[in-house]
Amino acid sequence: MTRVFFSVLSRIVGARMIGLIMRLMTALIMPLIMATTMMAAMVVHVYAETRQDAVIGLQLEPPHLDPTSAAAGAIDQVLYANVYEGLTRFTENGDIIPHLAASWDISDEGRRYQFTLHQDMRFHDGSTLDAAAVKFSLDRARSDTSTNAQNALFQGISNITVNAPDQLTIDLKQPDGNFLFKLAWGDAVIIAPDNVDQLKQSPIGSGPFKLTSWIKGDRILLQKNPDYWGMPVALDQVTFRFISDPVAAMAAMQTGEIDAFPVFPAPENLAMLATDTRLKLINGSTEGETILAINNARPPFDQRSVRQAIAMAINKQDIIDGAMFGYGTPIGSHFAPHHPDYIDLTNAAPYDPAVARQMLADAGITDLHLTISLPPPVYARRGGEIIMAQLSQIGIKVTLEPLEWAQWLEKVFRNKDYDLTIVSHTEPFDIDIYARPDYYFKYDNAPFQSIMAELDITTDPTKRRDLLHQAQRHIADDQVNVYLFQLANAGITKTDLVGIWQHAPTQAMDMTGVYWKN
Amino acid sequence: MRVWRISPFLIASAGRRNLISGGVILGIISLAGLISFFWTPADPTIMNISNRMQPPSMAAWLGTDHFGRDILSQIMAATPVTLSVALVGVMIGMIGGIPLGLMAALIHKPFFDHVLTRGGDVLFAFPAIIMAMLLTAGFGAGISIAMLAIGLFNIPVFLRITRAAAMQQRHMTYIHSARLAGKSMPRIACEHILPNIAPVIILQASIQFSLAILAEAGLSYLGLGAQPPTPSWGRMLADSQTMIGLAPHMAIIPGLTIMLTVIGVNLIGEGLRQRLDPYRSRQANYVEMDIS
Repeated sequence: MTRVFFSVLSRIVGARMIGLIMRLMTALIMPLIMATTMMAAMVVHVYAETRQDAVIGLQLEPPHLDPTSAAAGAIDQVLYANVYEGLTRFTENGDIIPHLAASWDISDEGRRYQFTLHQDMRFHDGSTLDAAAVKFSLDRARSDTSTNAQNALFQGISNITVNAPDQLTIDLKQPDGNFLFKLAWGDAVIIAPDNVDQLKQSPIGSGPFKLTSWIKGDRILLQKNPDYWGMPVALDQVTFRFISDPVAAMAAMQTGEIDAFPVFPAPENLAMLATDTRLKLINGSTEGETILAINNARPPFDQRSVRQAIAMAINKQDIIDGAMFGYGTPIGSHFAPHHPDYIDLTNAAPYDPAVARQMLADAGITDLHLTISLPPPVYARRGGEIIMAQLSQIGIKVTLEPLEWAQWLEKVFRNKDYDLTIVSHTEPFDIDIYARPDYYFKYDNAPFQSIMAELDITTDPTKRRDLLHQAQRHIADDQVNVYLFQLANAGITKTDLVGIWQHAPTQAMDMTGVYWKN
Repeated sequence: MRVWRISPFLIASAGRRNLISGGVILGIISLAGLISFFWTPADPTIMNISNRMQPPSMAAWLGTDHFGRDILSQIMAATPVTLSVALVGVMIGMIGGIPLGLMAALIHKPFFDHVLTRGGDVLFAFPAIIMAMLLTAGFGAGISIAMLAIGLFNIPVFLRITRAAAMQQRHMTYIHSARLAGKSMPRIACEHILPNIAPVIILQASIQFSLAILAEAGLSYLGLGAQPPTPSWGRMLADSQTMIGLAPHMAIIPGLTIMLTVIGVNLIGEGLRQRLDPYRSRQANYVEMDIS
């Protein structure tokens, strides 16, 4: 074909002319080809260079950005360790390590803590983070007018004294074996004193990342803080994207749009996603005791036997399998199984519908009709349907009431207007909530309160362990709530992204140790 | 261009074909719904978690869902719910819309007509879903709310169609003679106009019925319809949403059921249209075909 073409062509324009044209074309085309190849090589090179940013998927968007005035875990997920820092901090495994405080001395039988801070620490706005700023933040958190959601953490403090710019003394009313643990919470972070008025919109912390923008309903962007006082982080930019729809989350993971989704909204799809070699499973523990909370003040749930009957009608493994597709560990009290002082009480209320039915009859309860309020997470919505079916087996009629988070917080948590509800308590080591008589499950029990009071002033490890065992047993025997299972930290991440926490000892998405492999 | 004359028999038989096939489909589905009152292969609310997401087999003919419930039993038990919600929804629309439409057309007061039709437009601006969300916020979700929402949405539809059809009849000579005979307007509306516009309304009702089935499925999908443990096609679809990759039958079966029901209703509607359409019958049953 070509030969025919050239022979025709040569007859028209002459052979010499063709040779000229060919040479001209070569001269023109060759550099073009070379340039393209070089450009392609450059593109490949850029592509192969290690990424400096990460996109993290989260189910819930924070309502605002002030960790010192709200219980919403989504705030800490974005800001803890990334933007805000405390004197101490949690590690991935739940250990407490020094953070802003370089070291400390404990004296006066555990009543006095003398902290030495790191040198030359600055907030994102350039102001100095010194002992005065620490005193300001902690005083603000413990004051009578404080809006801190964990105000109780700071009630043991009697006095804070600034000795030098990097020296600080905190005096406690009583010895507190958990004081350093309490200081590690996201509610105990140190804020810039000048920024108090704008905490909800523009957080100014001391962390390795600072907030660059928040597109409401979509994403929050964090940028590396070049002036960070501590070890610099690997990532230049972190994007938190808020996707609550499980199908959208699945699609975002499959297309690679999102690099990690540490708490995935649809546990049923994790196994399937993990078959992709680019992705790997995150399966760790959380501090989330998932409970069927009971309004202990509302008859007939004020009777222990009724609560016991409800507990014995519930098959926990069915809920773990049916709602969470196997991710979760059954519990028998309000205590995390990975805690060293945990005791297994799952047999305190063994699954036995026949006995449960009898207990209900003995208590003189017939025709019990109750409502279960359900917040949005899948453990609650699916768990509610399963519990409804299980309770119907012992003759209890159930109405399900699906609520949005804001409605749940208002109706159930604040106004205590509910029969039963399903929720996961993700705060670490929170068994003390059972000692608060006005907490939403309305459990007012003097013996338990005295156990907690004693625990607060006990520092001896063996005695503490003993008291913790007592506490676990007490609320299990009293069957305050139905303790369902420990929420698993089940999610998915790209294989090449290293450093995403496997466990969730607190509500945090710590990006400080995250980097891309090659 | 030639005009082909098609025998009236053929038209009638096409209508009959649609009526028969639609009737068979809807008949089977309604029968399954009726049977569910007395018998289902398994209890549709009984869970068996260890036996979840089983594909169709001899033990569970249409498989099991994510809680191990029998899907066939759920489909059967959900049928009366869906059909009754759709039926009541359309009835509310007819009972509310037809009298209003007649009044708008027959009462000679432009202001009154405007108020009714614009009022209908305002109501029409809210789709059934939005209506249900508004009602749910006030009264909580449930079957009766779904019925009400679909019904409210249907009122302006019937208002419009009745008004338009009745307007055409208003100046017919037989109406004038009826008036001369001394009949009152309400009586004329009931005895003369309504029977004459009935075919149009029946057609519209069949269309609205199939839309109402879809609306009910949509509302349950969003959690605004039948509440658990009452099974519902829409909620079965919603539940299966994240499990399409794991157990496709969980989505396909309720989806197909909704589709078949709507096709059945539409076939009946089409058959009725071919029989009842006043335009067609006046056109003496010939169809124009351009074969040039």
